[in-house]
Amino acid sequence: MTSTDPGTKACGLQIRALGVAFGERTVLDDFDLDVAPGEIVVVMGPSGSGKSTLLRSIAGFTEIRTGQIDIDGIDLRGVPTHQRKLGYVFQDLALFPHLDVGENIAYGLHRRHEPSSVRTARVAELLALIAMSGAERRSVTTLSGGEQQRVALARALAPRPRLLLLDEPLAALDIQRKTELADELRRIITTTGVTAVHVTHDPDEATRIGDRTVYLQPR
Amino acid sequence: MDRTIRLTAHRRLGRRPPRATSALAALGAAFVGLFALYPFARLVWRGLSDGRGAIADLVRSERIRRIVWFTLWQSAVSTAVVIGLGVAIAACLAGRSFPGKRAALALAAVPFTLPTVVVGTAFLATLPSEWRQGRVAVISAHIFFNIGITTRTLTLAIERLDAGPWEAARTLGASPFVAWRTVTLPAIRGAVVGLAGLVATLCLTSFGVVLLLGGPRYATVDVEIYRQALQLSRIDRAAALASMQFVAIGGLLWWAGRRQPAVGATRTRPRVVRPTLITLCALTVLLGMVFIPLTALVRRSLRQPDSSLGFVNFTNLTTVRRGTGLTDPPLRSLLVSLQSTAIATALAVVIALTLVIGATRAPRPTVRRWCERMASLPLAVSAVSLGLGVLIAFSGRPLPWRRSPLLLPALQAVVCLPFVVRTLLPAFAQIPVRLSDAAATLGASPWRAWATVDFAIAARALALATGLGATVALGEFGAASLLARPQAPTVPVAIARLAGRPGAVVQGQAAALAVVLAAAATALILVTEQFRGADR
Repeated sequence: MTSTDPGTKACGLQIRALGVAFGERTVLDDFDLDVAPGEIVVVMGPSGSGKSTLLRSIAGFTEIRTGQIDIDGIDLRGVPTHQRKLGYVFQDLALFPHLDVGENIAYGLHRRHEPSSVRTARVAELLALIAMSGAERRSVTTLSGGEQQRVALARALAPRPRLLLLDEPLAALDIQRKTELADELRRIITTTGVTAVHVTHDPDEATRIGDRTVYLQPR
Repeated sequence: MDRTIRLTAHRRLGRRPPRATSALAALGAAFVGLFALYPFARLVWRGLSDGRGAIADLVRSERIRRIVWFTLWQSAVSTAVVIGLGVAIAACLAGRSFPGKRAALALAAVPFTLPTVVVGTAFLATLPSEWRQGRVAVISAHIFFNIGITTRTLTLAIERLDAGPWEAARTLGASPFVAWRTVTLPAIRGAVVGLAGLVATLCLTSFGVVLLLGGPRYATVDVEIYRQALQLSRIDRAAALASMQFVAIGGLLWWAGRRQPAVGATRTRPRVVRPTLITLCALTVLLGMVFIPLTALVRRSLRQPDSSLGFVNFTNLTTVRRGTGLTDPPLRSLLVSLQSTAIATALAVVIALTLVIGATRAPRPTVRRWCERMASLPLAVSAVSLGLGVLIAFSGRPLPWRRSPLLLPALQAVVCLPFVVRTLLPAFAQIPVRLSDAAATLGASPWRAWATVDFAIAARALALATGLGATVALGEFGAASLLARPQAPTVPVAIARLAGRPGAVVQGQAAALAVVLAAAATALILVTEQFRGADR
């Protein structure tokens, strides 16, 4: 970690005895994970091992059957997604096509009722961090794959989340771009000092981004 | 030499030669030109040449100003209510998975396929006597007519959206309502605007509903065109009104079309959640709005002249009664309608195929664009205006076809055409050209490749389009009211004649005939829905 974004509150993630099932099919069973404040943990595993399900459970998109998820010592059970204060970078990035780059990044700040001056400053700060200064008014549909990936990351980081979740955001890139962006991703995450859980099935990406790697086995 | 090489290349790639594609497109365009453009041009010409002051007359007329105002007002109110309710109900239903949802949405869309005179008759049977004719009746009928199809289209549009942006908004602090307002609603804005344009157009050109429910005080432009042409013999004023209406509706469709998004439904990860009490309430409201008038119509058809319940009104359909304006038993009109519908549907499907091939496979983009425009053109001209234009254009030389029994089916085919093409076009547009190329490498000639690949893949859409075209033709009233021969009316014309006469027996016959037509249209659309496939 090179420095810490003073606005990002350091925190940790604790998962105890997590169980998730879809009907009869158990995807996660008795799963434990501890992530220290500021640590980047990479979760690896083959398809169907429950990597994405783990992130979706933390985010509140998937109901958990058993266990407990705490962030900063706060039990997330019963807390709706929009109150969990997470950042999530989706595999397909899920940028809002009807909003420009600046509006995409400012979306979470709007939801937290940040004043306009704060939003503008934060957007400029994050665009500088991802080396896209001045791109506020660009349409997200005209960006390259790598630029879209960086904007999605900036959008997730803008509201200063307690935990950043990354669901294979580099999966769609070619090997050369993936290597470059993996290094870039680590630089940005460590600059902000946010705690992160990164999911991938690529060992090289795991080595470049993570402080530690956890393996999931298919059930 | 160059030409030989090009033709060989096309053969090798399994595509139809450009000339054959263009010739097919020209055939379709010629049909639309002959039965839509030419009659309408003759109508406008007649209006301008016969009465130079016709438009000035219209502008000065207090009555016409009142009619234009009512036409715009009822259309705006009906559209606002339909879109507002449709968006709200779709938001409650979209993504909620429960047994019977597919059937419920299909049934809710049935009123859209019902003939307008059936809708009018249903509301005569539903509303209390003091509201039976007037603004409330007209707007209620328009809401009933459009709410189901609007809700279903919006529900499917929301369900086709990728869940990603919605979930991203939720992780960024948006509550479910805020995520819906800031992410889902903008994503379906194009669909909403397109539907609003369609609903507004249908309400602006409303004829059968307003003829039955408007009463003596309220008329739309279409009803006035009919009145001016047939009751007052003022063709010049009717033509001037039709021209003004064409400009207004053409502008509205152009505006709505420009705001529709390009095809971009990704559906990579749809959002599916459990139904809630609100889902049940929304479904109840939707089905209530749709089925209360239909139930009232069925009850009215079973109420006999002596106020007891029974089937006398239905058995009366096989007898001729004096004072009904019909020379044959009312049920005979069903035979006339079925014959006309069969011919109109066959014509519409063939012409639609030629235009769709042109719109998807013509080598020149200009030809492709014009094929689409020609197919949409009939939407901008109301059926009454078209019927009036046909009366003028084909009553003498050079095309004296006024007495031809094929004239009404040809015109009904033109009315069906936009609906048939809109069903076929997406199906054919999504078929990659490389599939034909693959067939060609396996030895298929261009036509064989088209028949065994394109046609086979789009067979379900073709069946769906045929059923939809048949439903529209069966219930077509505007053109038929002008062109149907007096001794051989179609079912909608017979219903309007019966409903316009006083007396319990005749009114009972009108309700019974409306139920027969509604049952036929519903059966047709439910069979057709089976071809819609898993995309729903």
